[in-house]
Amino acid sequence: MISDKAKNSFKLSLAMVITYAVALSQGWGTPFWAGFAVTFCGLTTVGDSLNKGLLRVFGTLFGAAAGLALLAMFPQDRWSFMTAMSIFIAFCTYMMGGTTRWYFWFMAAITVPIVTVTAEPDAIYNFNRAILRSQQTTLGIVVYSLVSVLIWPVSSRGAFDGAVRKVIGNQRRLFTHYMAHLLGAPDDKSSVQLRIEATRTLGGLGALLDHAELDTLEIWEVRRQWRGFVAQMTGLQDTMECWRQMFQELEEINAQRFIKALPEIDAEVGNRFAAIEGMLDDQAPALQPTEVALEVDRTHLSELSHFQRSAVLLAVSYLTRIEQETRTLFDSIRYIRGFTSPNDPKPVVDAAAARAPLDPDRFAGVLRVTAVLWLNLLLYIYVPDLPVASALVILGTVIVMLQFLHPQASSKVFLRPLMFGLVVGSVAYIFIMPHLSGYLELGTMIFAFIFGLTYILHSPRQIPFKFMGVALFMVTTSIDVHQHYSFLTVANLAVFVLILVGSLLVWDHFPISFRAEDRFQAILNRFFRSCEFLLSTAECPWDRLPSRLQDWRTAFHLNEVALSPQKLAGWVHALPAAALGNTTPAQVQDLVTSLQAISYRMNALVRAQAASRSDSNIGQLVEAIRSWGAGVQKIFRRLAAGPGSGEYAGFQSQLDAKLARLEARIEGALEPADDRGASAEAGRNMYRLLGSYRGLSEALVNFIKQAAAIDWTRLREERF
Amino acid sequence: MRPMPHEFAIGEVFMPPLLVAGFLGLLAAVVTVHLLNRYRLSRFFFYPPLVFLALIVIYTVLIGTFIVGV
Repeated sequence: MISDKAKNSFKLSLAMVITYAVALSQGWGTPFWAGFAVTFCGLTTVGDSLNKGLLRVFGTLFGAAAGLALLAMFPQDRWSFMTAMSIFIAFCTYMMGGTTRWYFWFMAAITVPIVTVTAEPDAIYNFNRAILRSQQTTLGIVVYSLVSVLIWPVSSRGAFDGAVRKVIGNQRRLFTHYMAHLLGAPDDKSSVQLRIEATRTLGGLGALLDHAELDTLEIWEVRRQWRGFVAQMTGLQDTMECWRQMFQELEEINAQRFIKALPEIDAEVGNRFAAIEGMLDDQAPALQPTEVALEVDRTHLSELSHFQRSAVLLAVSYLTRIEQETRTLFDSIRYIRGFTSPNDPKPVVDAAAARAPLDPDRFAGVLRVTAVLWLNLLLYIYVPDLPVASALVILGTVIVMLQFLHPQASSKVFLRPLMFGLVVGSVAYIFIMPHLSGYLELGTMIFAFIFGLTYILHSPRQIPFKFMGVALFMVTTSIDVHQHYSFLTVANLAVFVLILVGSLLVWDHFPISFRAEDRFQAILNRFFRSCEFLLSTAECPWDRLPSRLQDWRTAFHLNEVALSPQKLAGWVHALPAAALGNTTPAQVQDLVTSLQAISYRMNALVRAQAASRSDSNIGQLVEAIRSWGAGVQKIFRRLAAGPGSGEYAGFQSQLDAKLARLEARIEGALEPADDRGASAEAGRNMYRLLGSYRGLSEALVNFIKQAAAIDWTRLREERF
Repeated sequence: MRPMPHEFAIGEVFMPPLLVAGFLGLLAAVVTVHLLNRYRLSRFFFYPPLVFLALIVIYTVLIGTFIVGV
């Protein structure tokens, strides 16, 4: 039985041999470009390879056209051309963030310097380079696609279906845990692992769907519905997480006494999850979902304080959302699996979520890419006889754009894979190739090297070594129509690698430091300043709608607050031990988790404020709200200056006092309504606001408690 | 007396003396910053990456003047 890694290595090596054979037999120069296409798009499943291959081809075509257009627009005008090229590359780099199709923008960006720089100093060959690059890329993609489809094809459908089942299974178990907790069972720590797994799997579903829709017709036909389904699962995960965050407020409340139909909704949602899992296994649903109306038992509600009432109302609103979202999931998967009748309406596919406004961290990455590009261009122009100068511009741009996607990767991690690739290539170039004659022998060497490299370096941790090994093997051997041998090729490449890594290392620190501890503090600082801004929106007149600029700024800061905890979680693992001092990584992780809670609460608060603007009763509370908001803004301002500067007990008592004043104001506002026997609708918005403020206060106090355990002095210390 | 500038050779691969001085200067700067980090003396510098660059230049000049001969 042949192992999967042997099959993958065989397919890649065979595709490489065929690619080189076609390119050399047709007299096409630089066949290693086709080899690159095979290497970087030769992935495990057919869908994965096709997806990446198509993105590579279209990105290359777009980049080649852009490169030729830039050359035509700025002939004989070096500085304008370089400025325009760097603006184009900066734009492509920025577009790489936040999409599963980043590879298109990546290829478009790196094709421009390939087309415009490699033909220099004789620009007449730029058009030839553009066509050759597009041709070779397409050759590599077509060859590997044929090999992967015809020899041991592996579909992406299994991986996608498995991931969907895993997420649904985890969400079902999470719902069961949370309902049990609401109904009085002790807290179960196993839900933490379920939550982490569900979040991780959900994060990769978009890319898996991209692959599966290309190699599986059944998925392609309902791809929009599948995208909607993935978005609905993400929405459900967020709702359940918001619901979990407020469990602390329901600690001393017997939820069953105040919320009617809790056991019914528990059973109904459980049945829906079971039916969804069955439909994923192609079993028709036995029952249709029935609507469960959750209500608050108003006869007992007066037993609770206003804070507790707000917590109960908030819990009901989250459970209602979960009920609606699980029904939507049921309808979607029923349509996708074909269990609907022709008269049933198509499930509504939600409009694509609005793109996030400008992201400062993406801009920082773009600035680094631009700085590296300009340094390498200036070296190319002003340093005479710089070894492999054009490759310095191209490969420098490639690596720094990859660092844009993985900013935690320091430039020095590329040195060993590059040197490894150079050694592998040099061995073949110096000791083996001069003794080969004919394509049979050359092809055998190519097959043996590629197979060996991909077979031995198959694990995910060895991917940089595998890719650099194969790529530099092709570059160093420089197999071409007119073959030549020179030791200078190897010597120049060795010096080139050192110059490349050196130039990248410079921009790890200038103009923006990408050290983990500096990025961590910068993101934390921005998070608190964004929270401060969002609270300041409460100072705007409540009876007037915000302007478009205010809306844009609010959306920007909401995006910052939503994404910062995830970004910080990525940087936690990169923090060096010297920067942590006495702090453990687990303590930093707890700090980031507490920030996530603040993020959820802030989001809920902004929504509650927006919903309350039209409620005339809120006018009575405006002063109390502003007073609370001003106090919390001051706290956020202090935390932005120094996260460890908060004093836990002092902050808690300040916030408790302000909340008590707010509760008293609400009580005063609601008593006349109660006397008139008006429904609790009149107080719903007030309770929603009260619950949001209380939740944010508690999350903030929890953060300050976690922050006290961090050695901020060591983290903020200057280090080399 | 200062050493005379001359090329270095490994086999028949010749290298300019500035390259050798620069490489040795880089090594010396790396060792220095490692020690500064180790004993937490780095906290007295305003912007350590610039200091690192400056150390490379200083060591290169010193090595090039008194040891290698540039």
